[in-house]
Amino acid sequence: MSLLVFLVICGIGAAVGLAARSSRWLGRLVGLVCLLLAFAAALTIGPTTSLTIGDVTLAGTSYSGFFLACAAGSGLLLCVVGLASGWPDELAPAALASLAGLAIAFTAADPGVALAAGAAAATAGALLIVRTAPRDAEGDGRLAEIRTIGLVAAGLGFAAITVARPPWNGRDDGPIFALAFLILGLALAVRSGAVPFHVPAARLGRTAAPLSPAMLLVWIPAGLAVLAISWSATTLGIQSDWLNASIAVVQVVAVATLVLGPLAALVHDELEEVVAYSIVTDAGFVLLAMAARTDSAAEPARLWLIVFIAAKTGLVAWAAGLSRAFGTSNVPRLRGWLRRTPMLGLALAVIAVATIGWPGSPVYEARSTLIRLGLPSGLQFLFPVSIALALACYARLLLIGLRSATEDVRLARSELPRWPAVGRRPSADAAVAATAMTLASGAEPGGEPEASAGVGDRVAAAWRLNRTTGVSLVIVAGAALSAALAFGGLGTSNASRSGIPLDAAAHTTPTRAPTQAPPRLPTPTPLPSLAPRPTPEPSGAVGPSQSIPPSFSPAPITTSAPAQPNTD
Amino acid sequence: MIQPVVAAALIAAIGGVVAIAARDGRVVALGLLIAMVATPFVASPEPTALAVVFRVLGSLLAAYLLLAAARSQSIASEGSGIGVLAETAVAGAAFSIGWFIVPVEPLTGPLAAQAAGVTLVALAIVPLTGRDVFRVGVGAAVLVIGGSLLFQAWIGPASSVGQIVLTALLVAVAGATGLLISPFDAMTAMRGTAAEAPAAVPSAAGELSADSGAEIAPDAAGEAALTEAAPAVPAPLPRRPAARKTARSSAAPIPADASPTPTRASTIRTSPFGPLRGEGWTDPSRPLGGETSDEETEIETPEPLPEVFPTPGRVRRLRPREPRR
Repeated sequence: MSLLVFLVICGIGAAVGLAARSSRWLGRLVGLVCLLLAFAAALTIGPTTSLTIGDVTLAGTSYSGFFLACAAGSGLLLCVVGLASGWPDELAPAALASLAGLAIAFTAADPGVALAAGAAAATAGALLIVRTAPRDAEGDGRLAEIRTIGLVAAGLGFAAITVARPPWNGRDDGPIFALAFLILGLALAVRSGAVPFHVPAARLGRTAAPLSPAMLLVWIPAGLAVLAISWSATTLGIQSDWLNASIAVVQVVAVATLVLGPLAALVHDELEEVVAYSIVTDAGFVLLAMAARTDSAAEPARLWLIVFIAAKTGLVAWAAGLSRAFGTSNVPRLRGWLRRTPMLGLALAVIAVATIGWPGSPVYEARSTLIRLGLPSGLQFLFPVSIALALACYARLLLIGLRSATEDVRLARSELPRWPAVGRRPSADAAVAATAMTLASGAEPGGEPEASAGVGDRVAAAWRLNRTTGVSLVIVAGAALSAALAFGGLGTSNASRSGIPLDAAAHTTPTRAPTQAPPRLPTPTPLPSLAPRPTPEPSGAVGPSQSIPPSFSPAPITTSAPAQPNTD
Repeated sequence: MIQPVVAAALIAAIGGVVAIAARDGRVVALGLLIAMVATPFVASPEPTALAVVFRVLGSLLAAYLLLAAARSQSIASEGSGIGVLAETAVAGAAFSIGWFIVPVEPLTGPLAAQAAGVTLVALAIVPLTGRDVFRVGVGAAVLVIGGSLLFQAWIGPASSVGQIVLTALLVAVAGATGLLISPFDAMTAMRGTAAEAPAAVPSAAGELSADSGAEIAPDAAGEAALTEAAPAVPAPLPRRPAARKTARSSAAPIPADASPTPTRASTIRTSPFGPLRGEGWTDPSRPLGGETSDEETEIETPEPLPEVFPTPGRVRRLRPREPRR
């Protein structure tokens, strides 16, 4: 029932939110309320949640509920920040539409339904692209977005065909899975903005609405990553040189992203670009989870994706708050920002800790595990390198903030709380706010504003005066939440142990019609299921069984026992 | 006697050819509609009536979204990158290949679905590699249709929820395409541009007829924006002339040091990023009335043009002047 409620809220919220964009307050109200309701509904999605539509069952799991709640909560936080830093009209409807698609994708037992719903969810990002013609064709965000949509649809569509395991005619079906793995990996890389597909991601500050990197580079790629990691279990039992080549391509992209992403963040001076490259860098771990081809990578990858959503949304919100506070997003011109806005500095430090963690913390171990499983032993040094580079990016921003303030920063309002003066000589800011308030009420200016202002007006004036402080507090709260998730709090670790129904479909031994040719391997070996609980056979799977080669895991991959069903 | 499944597969393939090869956005939407409507009938067993109704309604919605974007402005793109005949030949060859190859054995669905699916996937490759947003979007939609046909052939007909989700995916792709080519936030963007450069004038105001050079009365907002200091209106959106030439020349980037000085010639240029590339309006961030590219195409206009084309420092008249008494 809660799943149905979630879908209804998201659907109605997206439709009404889009229709009410022209209304200044209605659109915001609908967006915020629906995100809040969706967050609450997602919290109730669990292993007992199910919804049957026709011959397909949508079954919730702990992880699907947790993921959706995290995404909805992140969207809510970002929209609250957007109230002060500039409200993007399409963000809330796009987020709700995307969440509806992801909800179906994470709960559908039919792999075709799940992957098609994931592709549909990825199209919602088009709402956030600024539809203006660019100065040069290379900077056309619309072209990059529609190409990405097409690639994601192609990748997930092909994956939907392969996961159903039709009886391929041929001696070896390895090339089929290798091609599907390659297309899906590249689709994920392009959607995440991984190197060398990073240019559209870096230009999102100019080609997309404000705050849109959170959705285009974090929420949608994270949702697709959950599907891709679950699908990759399909390839566990396949031994093919073609598949190894596809994995090598994905590994190269991941390594390039892990190394070049933070370097790009270090040399760029626009805050949006720095944030984009920071997000892109962390997407490299997702590609490694896909390239690992072992069940052992699934749990740390799921935990990392939760932390990725929370921490990187916080980073986008931090950048928006900082740009709003000082009226610029140029990093050199933001010199000294930390002195004026120490709470934002605290938020950035907490986000850094949540992203990197320290030895023993779940997020640290998750990142370490993904590199250990996803890369050959000769490249294990990339883990300390990635930490050092990530720390350098955050340290650069913090050090710039500690230097002497620029003119832009000095003139900006600090985080010190201010109140509209009552019964004493008003400060300059309060006088401006009070005069504006008086003018808005239609009274003649020049009188005693404090005497004529009501309580509501004073609260409004106080909000205007302390908007920087309020935004900083919200961002600090979001950063603290991401840190709690990174350290396994709020049930993150337990939820990460469970998967989604697509896991079961990817692990299920196919039961198909016997082919005329004799089976290639005479001893079918059913693979263990990672599913949190038994799920029905994919609807597309019909007919008797087809043999599956034994599980193959390239070195240094280790295969662990299947994940235990979530009991909480 | 041709079987209904084969007929539906042929219709889907023909719809794909029309969608990929047509230049007019409305014809493209019609081709997509034909392909989308025919797709659920290329299945064995046939889907339920409810699923068919849902697919048809979804197809209508998807086609309408494209049609609405095409109708709001002229969406006359370059059409097929390789020509109609070549597209037809590709479609025929791909249909034959799809009919005779046996990648999956035994085939769960009809062979015609495989042939039509291979055809649509093959047709989608060329537009997906192009640089036109509209064509890429249409290519993505055709690719999704082709993929669904291959799914029907290799895996079997989709479940009821699968039909719903597939329809939603098609509507979403078509909607995203229509959204990205639509001039929806033109005024919003122009407001932002006007804030930065007060002299900016909406290009939608005072639309010029490409045929006669005469000016069409703009809306009130555009009229109010035209002031004494306003430079020439940039880049009217002609529907007809020099489509291919201008579209090709649009690949040239606009020089960064473009002069903002309005010139007479620039007032009647076609936009390099104008409707010929799929969008329905011009870039408001460009220097209005400024030099853009050496390769831009001028529309031939009859001489003299007494009051239609403004000159710097003059009030731009939007309607014919009243005769003096």
